[in-house]
Amino acid sequence: MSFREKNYRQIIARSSEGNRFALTLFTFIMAIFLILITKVPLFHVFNVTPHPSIICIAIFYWSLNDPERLSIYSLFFIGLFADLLLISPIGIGFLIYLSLHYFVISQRTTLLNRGLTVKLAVFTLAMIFLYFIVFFMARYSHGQFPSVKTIIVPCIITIICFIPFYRLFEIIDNLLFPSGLRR
Amino acid sequence: MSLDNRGIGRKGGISGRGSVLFLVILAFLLIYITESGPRLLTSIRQVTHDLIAPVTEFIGRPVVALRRTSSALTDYTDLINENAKLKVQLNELLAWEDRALRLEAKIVRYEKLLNVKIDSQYNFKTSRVVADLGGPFVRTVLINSGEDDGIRVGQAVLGASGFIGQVVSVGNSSSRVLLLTDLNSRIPVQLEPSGLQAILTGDNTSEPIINFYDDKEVPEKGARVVTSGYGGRISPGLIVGTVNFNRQGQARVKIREKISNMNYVRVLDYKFVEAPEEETQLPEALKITPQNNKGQQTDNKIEGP
Repeated sequence: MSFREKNYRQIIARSSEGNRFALTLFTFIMAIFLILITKVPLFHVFNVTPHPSIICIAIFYWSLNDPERLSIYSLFFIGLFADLLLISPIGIGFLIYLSLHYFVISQRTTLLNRGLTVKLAVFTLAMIFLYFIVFFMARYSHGQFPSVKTIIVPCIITIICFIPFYRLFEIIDNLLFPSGLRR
Repeated sequence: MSLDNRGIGRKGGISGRGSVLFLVILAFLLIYITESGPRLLTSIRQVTHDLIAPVTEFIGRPVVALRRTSSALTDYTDLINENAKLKVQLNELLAWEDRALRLEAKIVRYEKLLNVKIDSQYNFKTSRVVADLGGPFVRTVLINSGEDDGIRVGQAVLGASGFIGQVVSVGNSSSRVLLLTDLNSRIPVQLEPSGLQAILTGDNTSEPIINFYDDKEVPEKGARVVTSGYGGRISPGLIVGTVNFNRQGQARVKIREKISNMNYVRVLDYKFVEAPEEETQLPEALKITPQNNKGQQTDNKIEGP
C-alpha cells in the first residue's frame, strides 16, 4: 500500500468516525428533546393526560434501523432523565428502554424485511408488556395500583402515534444523514 | 444494510455485556435507593425541573396557541346559545349580587359588634403551567415561579375557579405542584353547611375520595367542599368542589376547577397564626412543684376557689 493510499484511508476512517459520533450525539439530543415534548401540557383524554411515549417509538426505530447509534450509556442517561421528569423511581426508565432495545434487536432480522403493519403489531405487543410492568412498578412504588385508565390511555395513544412518528424519524434521518453514513 | 443483530452489548464482547450487567444492577440499586431515601433525589429533581422549565415553556407555546385557537373557534360556533345562557345567568347573578352585598354589610356590622379578629387577606402570585409531569406514578404540574418569586413548600395553589393542589418542591425559578387528585395527596377539608370535617384523599382519578369523617354524619350530595385549614399548611375556606357519590356509594368530590385546561394558576401566600413558643409549659404562677421529702409544699400552689 502506497503512502498516499494509506493516508487516504486514514482520512476516510476518521471522517467515518466523526460521522458516527455526530449521529450518536444527534440521537442523544433528539431523545432528550422527545422526552421534553411529551411533558408539554396537552389536552386530557378521559381525565388522563395522554403523554404518548414518543421516546419508545424512537428507540424502536433506532434499534431496528441502526442499533449501534444507541450506546448503553446514552440509553442509561436517557432513562435517568425520563425518570427525573416523570417522578418515577429512578432506574425504571433505563430498564424499560433496555428491554425494548433488546427485544427489537432479537426480532431485527424478521422485522427489517416486513412492512410497517407488522412493525406496528410487534410494537403494540411490546408496549402492552412494558405498560404492564409500569402498572406493577407503580404498585411497588405507591403501595396501591394506579387507576387502569392512567396506563391504558397513554399506551393506546403511543400505539396510535407509532406510524406517523416512525415515518417522521425516517424522513429526518434521510434528510440529515444519507444512508451511507448510517451503516 | 446488513441484517445482523448488532446491539449495544455485542460490540464490546465481554466488556460490553459487563457494562450492561453493571448498569442493570445500578438501575435496580437506584430503584431501591429512590424508595428509601428520596431527599437528595428531590433536590436533584428540582434542579432538573429548573433547567427544563424554560425549555418546556418554549416548546409548549404552539400547544398553548393551538388550545387558544380551538377554544376561540368553539366559542364562535356556540356564540348565540352562549349569549342566551349568559343573559339568564346575569339576571340570576344580579339578584345574588344584591343578596351578597346585603349579607356582607350585615357581617361587617356583626364583626364590629363582636370585635372579631378577621383573617388577613391573601396575597397571591400568578404563574404559568409549563409542564405536565403526570403519569401512572404521580399527578403533578410544573409552574414557572420558584424561590426567587417567594414561593414556599406547602403553599396552596388555585386555578381559575378553585383549589387544585399544593406546592411540594421549590427550585429557584420553578416549583412542582402536587394536584389533589394524586395518590399522595391528603387535604383537610370541611363540608358546608354541615361543617363536617374530613380528609380529601387522591387516588389518581378525577374525583378524590372523602375519608376520615365522623361516622355519625353522612356527607350530603351537592354539599360544598372547602379546605379547613387544619394542619396549618393549606389556607382555610378555599373552594374545592361539591360532594358526589360514585356507583359504589363512596363519597367523592367533583372538583370545581377543570384541571385538564389549566394554563395559569395562583399560588397563595397565606400566613398562619403561629403557636406561641413553649405552649405546653404552664405559666410560673400555675405550676405545682412536687412535694419535697419532708412532705412540705412550696409557695407556688393553686389555691382552691
